Amino acid sequence: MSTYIVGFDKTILLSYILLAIIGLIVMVDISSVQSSMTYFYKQLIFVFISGIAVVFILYFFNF
Amino acid sequence: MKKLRFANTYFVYLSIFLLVLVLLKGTTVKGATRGISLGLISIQPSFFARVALVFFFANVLDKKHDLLLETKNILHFPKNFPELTLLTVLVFVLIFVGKHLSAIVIAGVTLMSMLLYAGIRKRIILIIMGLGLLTGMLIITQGDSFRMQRMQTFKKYSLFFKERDLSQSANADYQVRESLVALTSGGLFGTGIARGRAKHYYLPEARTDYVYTIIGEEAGYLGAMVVFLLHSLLFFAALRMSNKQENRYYRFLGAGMALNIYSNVLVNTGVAMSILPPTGNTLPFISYGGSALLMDSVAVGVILNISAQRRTL
Repeated sequence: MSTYIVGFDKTILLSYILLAIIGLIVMVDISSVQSSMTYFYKQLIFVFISGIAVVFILYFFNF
Repeated sequence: MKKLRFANTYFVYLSIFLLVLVLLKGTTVKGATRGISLGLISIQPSFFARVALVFFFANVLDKKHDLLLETKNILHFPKNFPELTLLTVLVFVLIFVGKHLSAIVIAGVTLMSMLLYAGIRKRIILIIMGLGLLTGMLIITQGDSFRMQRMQTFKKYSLFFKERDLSQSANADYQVRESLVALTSGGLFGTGIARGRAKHYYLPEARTDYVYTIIGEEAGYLGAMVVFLLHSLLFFAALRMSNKQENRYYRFLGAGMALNIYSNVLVNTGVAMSILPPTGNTLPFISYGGSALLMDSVAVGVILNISAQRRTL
């Protein structure tokens, strides 16, 4: 017997995605006045890893 | 599907281990020992500890819910919830030694809100709040001098205090002053994206603690409001979803995770606008930083997981 997800709260996910995108835009903006874009690239990696964490927790855990 | 509930207490033990490790092997930045450096990145266990405590509280409050409702006196609370009291105090002490007071404030607000949400008597919460405020005042007046200095800066620039002397500015006021200057210059519509002044080294913590100031300066009051409303939307949607859960543990866990994120938002935006005394904490999902972003995302993952509708075949 297997259980699978057929739906979840889209409002929460959408708010999260929008905030993460705004965060990346702000990071590009702040990094643009510095000598390198290191902070933006690092933030991009953090967002990617965090996104994977969200999907992983959503689909593979049962609290 | 793996059941994670059994691991709730172990999360707290792990966070205690990591907090001790930070104190022993952590890197000290600006007088505070908060992170362990792992080459390119640095992890901050206090963020993990906050999420671990929410898991732990949800579990204990669900299992001992009847006892919580029966608790009439503050003195009965540690007796009825010995493990909860002991581990929470231990985590708070370790975070305090690492000089991350804002993490204690955010965790404290979150956990007290969880207790209130679970149905604890308001009188007990008021006493715990009173004790917390008293401890905070003692820490500020008797502890490190930089905290007292921050309170004086807050008194100087906060709109709550009528008699303010802004004629003499000190170096300690720098961040707060620049934050208010930037927010004011933003006006209603902002200076325009990439046209702000504060990020040009006027505001040293622009990408972390004062990122809301950068948004307020460049996107104006309206832009800052959009960001705040998005955080509020996430919080209230999560709270509404949690309230609908039949399972009490899910209800407490979902609300706790939402409160953990939103109390962080309120503290960060409050500091940027000088509504609260200056303290170092990030704006969820926006500020630069791996640990904060990852742990806030874990909280979102947990909330989404609770909200998920499942079908069994």
